[in-house]
Amino acid sequence: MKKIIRLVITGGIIGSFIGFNIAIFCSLFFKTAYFVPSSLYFVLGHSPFAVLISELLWILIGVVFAAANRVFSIEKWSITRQTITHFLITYILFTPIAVACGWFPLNFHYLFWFTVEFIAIYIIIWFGCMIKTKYKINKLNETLKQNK
Amino acid sequence: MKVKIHLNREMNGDPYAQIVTNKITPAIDMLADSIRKISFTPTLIAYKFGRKLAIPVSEIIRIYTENKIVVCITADSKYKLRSRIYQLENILPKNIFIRISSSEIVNLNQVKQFDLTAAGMFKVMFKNGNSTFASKRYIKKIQEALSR
Repeated sequence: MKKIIRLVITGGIIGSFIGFNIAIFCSLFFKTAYFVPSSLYFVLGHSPFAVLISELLWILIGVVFAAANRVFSIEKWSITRQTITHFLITYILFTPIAVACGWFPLNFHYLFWFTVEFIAIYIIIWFGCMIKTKYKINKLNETLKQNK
Repeated sequence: MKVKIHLNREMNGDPYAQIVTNKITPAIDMLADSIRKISFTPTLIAYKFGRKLAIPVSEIIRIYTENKIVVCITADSKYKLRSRIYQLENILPKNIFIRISSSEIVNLNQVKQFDLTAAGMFKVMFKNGNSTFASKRYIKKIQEALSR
């Protein structure tokens, strides 16, 4: 229980921090007249509620990623299984939130390229993990041989 | 000092040394202590079919938890232990026995090499051909133990 609370708090803080900063950056970059927390202002106008709901969504994203990260602590799982499970959790839970944030419209074309990008990122993560671990294990073997 | 070796083929148990003297002097005490020290082989108390046995630690290949029971494997047999993994980690010589996952300790002298499987499992291979899986989170600790 304690772990879950800590996960929600840290995930939430990191999520809202990153979300807020991206929103500020985008607002400045696209030279908007007002601060645009997310595309929700189309529905809610420039009310504080647009900011509040955006923040809740950022918190939710943070919690999803913090929770998904736990799969890398499951010591009996291979890197492949950890990466695929992480992918499934974030893809299934993050995609609807991203749509709710208005980051991309819900149509086949966008969803398709979003999925392709998502998979590409996970393939890179998988390769990175494998190379890093392989390097560390090679180092172990070298030290083991020197000891003999 | 004269040293005599008695050969007794009917004798049971471990060999022992006997000092014959007409007076116990500090020199005799020291001699007895030295014999004890150089002939001391660390053992673990293990059980097999309810029988209690002392196993020289150098013969142990791996110690792990199996269905909540701690067992140890030697070249030709398997024994139950009554201590917990974390207790054994402290009792056993730290330069030889290392923790490789939350449920296993291995004898480094019995390890042939480490490997990363195609799926990304951290594998430990022993000289006798057996193998086991370790936790990737322990790589750093194993490296430190090997580098000592």
